Amino acid sequence: MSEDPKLGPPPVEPLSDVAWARVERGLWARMDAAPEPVHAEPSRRRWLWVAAPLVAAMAIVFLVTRDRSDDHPPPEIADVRVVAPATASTTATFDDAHIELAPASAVVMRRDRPATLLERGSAWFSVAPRVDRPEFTVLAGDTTVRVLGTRFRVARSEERVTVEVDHGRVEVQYRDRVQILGSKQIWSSDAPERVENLPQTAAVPTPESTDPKPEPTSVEPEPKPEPTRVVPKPEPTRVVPKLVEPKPKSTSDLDQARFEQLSVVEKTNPQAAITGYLEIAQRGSKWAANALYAAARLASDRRDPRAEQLLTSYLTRFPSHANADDARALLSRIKR
Amino acid sequence: MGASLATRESDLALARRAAAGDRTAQRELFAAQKTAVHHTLFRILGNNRDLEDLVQDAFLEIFRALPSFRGDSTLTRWCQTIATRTAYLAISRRKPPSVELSLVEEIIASDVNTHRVAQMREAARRLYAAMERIDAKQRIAFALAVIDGLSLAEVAQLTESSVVAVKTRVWRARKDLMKRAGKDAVLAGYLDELSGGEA
Repeated sequence: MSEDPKLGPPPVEPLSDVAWARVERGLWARMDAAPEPVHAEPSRRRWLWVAAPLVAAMAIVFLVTRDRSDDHPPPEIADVRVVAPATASTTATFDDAHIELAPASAVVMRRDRPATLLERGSAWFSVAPRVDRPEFTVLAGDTTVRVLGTRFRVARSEERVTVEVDHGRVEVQYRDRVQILGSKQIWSSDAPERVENLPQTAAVPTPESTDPKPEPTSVEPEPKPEPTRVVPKPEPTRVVPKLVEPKPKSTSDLDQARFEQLSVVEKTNPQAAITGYLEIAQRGSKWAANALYAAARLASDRRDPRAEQLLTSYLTRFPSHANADDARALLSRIKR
Repeated sequence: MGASLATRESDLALARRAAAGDRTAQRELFAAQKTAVHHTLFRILGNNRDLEDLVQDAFLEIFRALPSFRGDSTLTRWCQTIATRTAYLAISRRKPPSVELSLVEEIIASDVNTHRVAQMREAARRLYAAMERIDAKQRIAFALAVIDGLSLAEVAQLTESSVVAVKTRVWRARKDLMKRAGKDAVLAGYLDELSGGEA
């Protein structure tokens, strides 16, 4: 016994990943529950020193931005945390993306770039084409999903992450591995090297589900061909990843989709939104009236000189449309 | 060992963002400091029992106190100071154990490493069981200085005490633990080894 080498201090036993996930979840939940957990208690003397220059700065910013109607800087987006109630889903918009949060899910939207962090649960992200804007990113644990315009779902259960693409294409980075997912494809951090096709007839999992697992059980199995029959049978449909929506849509559907995208863009790029609305208005679908009014309303909000002409045009073309009264009110306000 | 100016500045920037309620910065801070906070808590308490809650407590306190971080020390050392305080509160709230120490288990494995690991675990278990019965401040000073091997100055920083006070606490803790070890040769030998023969 005396010949034994020294034992040394006991090693620090690390917490497991699951334990850390519990710690992190509990911590943020407690932070959310605390009334003001992270802000300093301002000293009585200090607040005046902070408040006075702040008010002055805000006044200057207000005056500058008010006078320069043609060159509004995009409104600064603060970090925003959205938590869906335990029993209902909720929606949020962020940098041209529409987010449908499943019950009890939480996302944090970054201030400095188009990125959201999925804290827990699952969410569908509908991201309008980014064109020349930076890619939209979703972070979930060790997984990063990058996207240039698509609809996809990310689900997180502790450290397990599932990404499912409805249409479009996303890049999923999990630690050092990168996978590209196309339409109707699914990936899980359980098998990060595999990308699987979703059966085409599969019902899209509802965002209400907090279970990150895909739901392939709703798929009817393909009937086995009877060997004795000669009736030609259609080829079983194989889902191939595609960059575009596979099923054709009517002009009205397209205009509706475009209108919804533009309504999200309004805050960040109002000029582009007005131009887009006017394009819809020229096509003459049932969304033309809404689009023309939206363009006129946005122009009016921004004190755009085209506002009066657009409102007049709207009232001439659609005098009894649902927004006609509002348009008249706006017009009279401009003329005043 | 002083931290570089760049580290201090980045610590300060991160602390300010986190203190302002930036959840992303708070997550970044948590990710960067969680291992250090856990390490300190584990060293003082000796096992991972209740540690999940205590890590949460420590980080809640860290986030609450962040506005007072001035960058005088590294963020890691500052977080460890709060972890030490959290451990102290946890020990102070605990009731002393009523169970006596058990005998050493018979080691069957013949492999030398297995035997040593088992010996060390048993010795550590006995040590922490004995530490449960000594004064909380002495215990923390002993755990950080003797078990974790920090210098007296570092322990003084973590415990927000003077070096002299830390030295006295370590000496008293060692003396008390040796007395409690009594005829327990395993514990006495382990204490002697950890203390470098000073016990």
